[in-house]
This record gives sequence, structure tokens and C-alpha cells, in this order.
Amino acid sequence: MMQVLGRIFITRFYAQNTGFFFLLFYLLFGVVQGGQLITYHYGLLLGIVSNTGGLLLGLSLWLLYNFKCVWYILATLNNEEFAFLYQSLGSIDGARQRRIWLSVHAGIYAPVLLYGSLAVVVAVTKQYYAAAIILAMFNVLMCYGPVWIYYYLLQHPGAEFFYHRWQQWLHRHFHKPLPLFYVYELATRRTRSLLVLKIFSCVVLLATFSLMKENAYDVRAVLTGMLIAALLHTIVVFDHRHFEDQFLVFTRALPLPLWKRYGALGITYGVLLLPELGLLMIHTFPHSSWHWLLIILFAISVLLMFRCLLYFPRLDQDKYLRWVFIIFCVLLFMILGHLYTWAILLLQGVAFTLFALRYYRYEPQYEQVQ
Amino acid sequence: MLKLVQIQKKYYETLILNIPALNLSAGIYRVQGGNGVGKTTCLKTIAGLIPFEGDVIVNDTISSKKNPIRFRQLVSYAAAEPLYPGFLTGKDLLRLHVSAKDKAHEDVMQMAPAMGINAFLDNPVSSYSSGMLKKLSLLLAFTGAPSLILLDEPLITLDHGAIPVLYEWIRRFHAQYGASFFITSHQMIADNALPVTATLVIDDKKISTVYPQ
Repeated sequence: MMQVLGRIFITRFYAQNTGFFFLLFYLLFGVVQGGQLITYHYGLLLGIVSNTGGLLLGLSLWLLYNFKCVWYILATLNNEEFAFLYQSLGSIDGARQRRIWLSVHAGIYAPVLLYGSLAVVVAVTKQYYAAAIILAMFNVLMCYGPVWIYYYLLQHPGAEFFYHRWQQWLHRHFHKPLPLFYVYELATRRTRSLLVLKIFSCVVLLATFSLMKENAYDVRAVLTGMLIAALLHTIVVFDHRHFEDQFLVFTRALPLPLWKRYGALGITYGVLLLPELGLLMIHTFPHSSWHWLLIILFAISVLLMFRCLLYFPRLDQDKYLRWVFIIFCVLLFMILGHLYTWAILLLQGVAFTLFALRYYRYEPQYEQVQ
Repeated sequence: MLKLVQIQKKYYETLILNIPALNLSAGIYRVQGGNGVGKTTCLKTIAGLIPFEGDVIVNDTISSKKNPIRFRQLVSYAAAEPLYPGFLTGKDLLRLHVSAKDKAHEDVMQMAPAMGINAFLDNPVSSYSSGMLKKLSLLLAFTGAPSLILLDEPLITLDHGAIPVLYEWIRRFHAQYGASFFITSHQMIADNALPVTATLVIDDKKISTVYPQ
């Protein structure tokens, strides 16, 4: 039994998350030289057990990882392919079934269990007994808590958990406006891609700000950083067209004026850029609030320009990226030449003209005759 | 009620529809034709969902090219196989359609129970069966104050209880509000179920009108 469940849950979990574990492995073992590895990890573990901040940070990260594990097992149980588990695993008596679930959960929670155990050993040897007790109890809870959830779910197929009830409450009380459809799609169905994109984009901006610490503040440097961050969004913008072609054809039949449709696109990209805009607010507001507004308008205008290019249906990914590169070069020179206000006006002018001329003429390439 | 002027629809260089002129008075029209002759393309063209050459004029003056917004207030379209983002609820879609259209013949929220979908309106459409999705798309076509409602294969996936409700809506909107209907269907529409004005036959890129004897 355990062998089959191991293949269904544990092996698939590690296979599906290979990228995540590669990154984790790199962060834990690849960033320091071999000789310093033990000192590095000892330092990390000591950081966790010796101060409250480190302990809270460690526990929060492990809690997030545990959410990922629980989410994965619940998603597998909800998958029709594995519906047979309700019949097979569900017919095993209570105590044995819980032991099986414990083994399965511990199997995918193992990386944290291993690191957590090392942290407990360090805490005991350094006489941080309170931290050792907290770490031990935390990990016991992280293992046993989910077991009761899985056990309950198998006894009550189709049971609704707090998350589902919360989702239903949200659906009842908040309606999703048109400009947020694509953001919602990214946040719910392509969470990982969105997260990676936002991390890279924010890293670019943070690198820009850290470079500026050594030199005087220059809005052109921030605009260049924002331009590179916008450039990272090109594929998301390209996928936006695909999403609209596939799911939002019905919106073309709605009696909405062109300026409203264009404005909706602007709002979509404004919301998509919220993390970057937050970072910009922290770092540019002390210098100039006008610059903050300027950079926001610039970033949204760049993405609008990229999107409006795609109203030419024959623009495939290769041609699109070529145009993006040309636009990038032109904008870079305009920024360096202090022509950023003109750049915004030019982007908005060209983007809206393209939108107004192409919106009703646009037809997806793969439209079939019926 | 509807005037098609010099309509040409091409996919790449292939001509799919060629309608030099067609004038239709208000009524309920069946649209017939074999598979792949362009029935859906014809309806999408009239709805202004896809680009085409020529013009579609509704209510004598409202042009799809010159008044695209007013035109879209007057023409509704329900797809044969409706597709919406799975995270939207039925109510999200109804709100979007109702808020986009100025006036309404009737309150669609009051119409929803007749189709048996009101209980599901707060759920995301990803949880809907194909029949439920079809009912929702039909309900959306009745939002606002349309003069012309284009129903592409409205009967497929509908249960037996919903078909008479749809017929009753069509009869009521036609009689009370003067709405016209274009209905494509490979399924038989029972005799006397709808007062069909004429049948539009699409064949060899052209449309011909066949009036009942």
C-alpha cells in the first residue's frame, strides 16, 4: 500500500517541483564554497534558534512549505484520476489510515523535518531549550495537523473546508471587473509564473536602487530599470492576447467605447505592476513625487504599446520580440536624452492609434470557418 | 430591421461569405445550411465579432461600422459553445453585461430561475456543466434591450425542461419588445413552437430567404 501511495503522492510531488528543489538546493549548497558549507549552515541554524526574528522567519517559511504540501495532497485527492483512493484508502480502519497519511505527509515534508531536526540539535547543544521545544512542537503539529485533514476528507468526500467557504463568500460579495480578468487569471492559474516574474522584476529595480546608492539619484537610471522590468513582462503581455482570443471573445460584443476598452487595458497593466509601483514609491518619493507618477505612466505606457502591437494578428512571437527590442532601444535613447515625457506621449499616441485602428479589425489567426 | 450591405467575409484569401444585399423585416428567422458553410461566421459577422467588408445596418440607421457602440446595444449573440474564464461567476458575467448596456427589456435576474440557474450564479463557471454554461450564455443574450438576438445552436446541451422556457422567452421578446431572432439549429424545432418568419439558407457563400408557403 505504502509503495503505491509513495508513487502517487511522494514521487509525483518531487517530480512536479523539480525546479523549486533545484533552486532550494542551489541556495542551500551552491552559494558558498565547499569548505565553508558546514560553517554556513551552522550559522543559518544558529540564526534560527538564537533570536526571535530568525525563529519566526524560519517557522513562517516552513509553514508556507507545509501549506504547499497540504495543497498538493488535497489537489491530488480532488483529481478524478485518483478518486479510487476514497474507495481503497477510505476503507482502512482509522488508526492505520492515519499512520499511512502520516508517512505520506512526512515523505513530502521531509526536507523541513530534516533541517528542523538539525535546528533542534543545534538549539539543545547551545542550550536554547525554549527554541528547541518550539521547533519540535511546531514540526509535530505540521505533521499531525494535515493528517487529520486528509483523514476527515476521506471520511467525508466533498467536504467543504474553510478555504472553499471563504472563496464562495468572496464570489458572492465581490464581483470581478473587466480590467482585472487577466490579472485574476495569472494570480489563480499561473501563480508560479507570476511569482517568478515579479521576483525578477523587483530584483531588477532593487539592483537599480542599490547602484544609485553609490551615485547621485538620477531619474534616468530608475526609468532604465523600469524599462528592463517592463521588458520582462513581454511574454505575459503576449499571453494576454492568447487569453483574450480564447476566453474574452464575448467582450467584443459588449457596447463599450474604445477609450473605455483602452483604459481597461491600462488598468490591467497598472494592477499587474503594483509590486513594482510599491517599490518605486519607497525609493523615489523621498526625491520627487512627480518622478514616481512619471515612472508609473512610463511603465504602463510601455506595456500598452507592447499589447497594442499584438492587434496585428500575424505578429507571431518572433516578430513581436523583434519589435519589442526595437522599441526598447528607441526608449533607452530617449531616456538617456532626457526625453522621457516625450517618450510617454509618443508611446500613448502610437498605442492608442494602433488600438483605435486595429481593435475592430483584429481577428485571431486560428479562427475556423463554421 | 436588418440590412446587409456588400458583405464579404474572407479567411486569409478564401471567400467565405458574399452577400451583396439583404433586407429583412422584424421576425424570427431560422438559419440553415450544412456543416462548414459559414452559419456561425455569418452570425459572428452580423454581431460585429469578427472583421468583414461591407456593413450591417440595424433598425434602418444604426451601422455596425459607424456606430459600433449603439449597434452592440441592439445586437446580442449567444455562441454555440460558450467559453468564459473559469474563475468568473455567473453573476460576474451578468453584472458585466447589464452594466455595459444602458436599458433593459426585462430584469435577467428575474428570468434566471425559469432556466434553473439562479442557484449556481454565485459559483465560478468552471464548476458549470455544459448545459448550465449554455443556459447562462442564453440568459446573457437577453440582457439589455436588443433589437436582434443571434442564437447559434441554442438547443444543444439544453435539457427538455429548458427548451420550452427558451421558446417562451423568444416569443415574448418578439411579441412584447419587437426583438428579432436569428436561430441556427441542426435540431428540429417543433412545429408551432416558434412563429418562424422565414428560413435563411446559407449555401455557396450566399444567403437566400425562403418564406413559408
